[in-house]
Amino acid sequence: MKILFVEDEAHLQEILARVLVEGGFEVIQAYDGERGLQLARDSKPDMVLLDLILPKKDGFTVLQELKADPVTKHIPVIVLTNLEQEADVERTLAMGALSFLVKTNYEPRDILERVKKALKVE
Amino acid sequence: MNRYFQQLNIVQQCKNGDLTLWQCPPFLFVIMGIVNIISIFLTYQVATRASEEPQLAAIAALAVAAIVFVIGSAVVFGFNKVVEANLMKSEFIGIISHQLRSPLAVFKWTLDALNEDLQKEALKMDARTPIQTLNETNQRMIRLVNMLLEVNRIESGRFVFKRMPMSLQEVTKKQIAAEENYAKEYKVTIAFQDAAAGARVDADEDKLQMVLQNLLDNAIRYSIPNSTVAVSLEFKNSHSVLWKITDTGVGIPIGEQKFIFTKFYRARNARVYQAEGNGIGLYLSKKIIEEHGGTIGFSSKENSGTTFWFTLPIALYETHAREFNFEMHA
Repeated sequence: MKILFVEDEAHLQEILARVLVEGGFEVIQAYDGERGLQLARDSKPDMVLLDLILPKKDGFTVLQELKADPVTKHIPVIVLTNLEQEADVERTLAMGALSFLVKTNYEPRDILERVKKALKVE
Repeated sequence: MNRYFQQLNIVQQCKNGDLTLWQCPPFLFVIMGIVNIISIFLTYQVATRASEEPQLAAIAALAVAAIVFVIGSAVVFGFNKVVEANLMKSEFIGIISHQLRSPLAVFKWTLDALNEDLQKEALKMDARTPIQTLNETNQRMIRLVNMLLEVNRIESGRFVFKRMPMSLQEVTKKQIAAEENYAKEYKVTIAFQDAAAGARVDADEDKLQMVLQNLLDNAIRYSIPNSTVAVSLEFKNSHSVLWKITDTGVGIPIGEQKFIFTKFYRARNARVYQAEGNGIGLYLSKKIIEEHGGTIGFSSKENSGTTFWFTLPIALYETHAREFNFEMHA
């Protein structure tokens, strides 16, 4: 199964990608919002892990466009971020994100578990 | 149009800023206006009775109106400055805290990866202890940032609780286990006595965990080495439970006791003995417990020890079940 990870911080990309690969997934990496959108459309991943603060196009816009495009709108999205305002959480969930995880509160292995759980259910 | 009406709804505006009505500039402005109208009216009444010349009455009324207006405006202006400063502070704290989380996340994930690698290499324990230290230290920073954000949220009236029936015993046991290493550092043992027969409370587990962590940390930190911290849970009455933690440590001097739950305050002797700790833990704990419908307090004697306690209402269905049981047995 393919997972698209959209995150601008290279260190975090490296580590989570490694954990996901070890967990048996194929990982596609995007370092900005525009690239993330493009890769989502082209490679049609089974899930998108999306940061909110991104260069070129922010996570909210990416989420909106993913859900508006018939090609990508059924792909489950988990938001991974350090923002935490209620407004942000509600906004992303209202826009169709599956869940909202704060990076400092989860270890990469926890995120792997969440991804596994979400994909089995889907 | 709607936005204009929103601005006119003063009560709502004040609630948004987490201010009491009497601290809120728009409301004070309206009050000032009313006071002014009344004083103009009264002055006019007094002046017309005191003198035959209508001009005198009018001038007197105008003078009073001007004075009230100037004083009132100065007061409102002053309050407005405070509110603005408060908002800026909130924004500032919010921005910095979120910025801090990025490097903290990198630390957390990198340390986790490092730990995994070392585990795979089956290295001796000594090699892994520095990693553990870094991890715990990083966790402390993360918790501090989380607390800062929480306090900020409370101050801006924006906190949200996700309440669910949960076991206070389980959360307590979990937290005590998590603090084992910390307690060892301070040579303190923690004992837990549970006398609340499985009663559950309606609470937000994350927030409650913050409270327990704060109270446990304090008890451990301010204890004398080789002592025991006693945690207990019991029924206060048929609809609430009482959670207590007692340490035999430095205690809190009487003069400082009334400041304990205020923000950024730490007792003078605490500062002398320990370099850690911050002033928002207890403030936050009090807010959280009170939002859950409970009460919190403490008793302390300098150089003898301290007991912190809080009560929480038992989850509703639980109360009914117990009442039902009583009936059955009667």
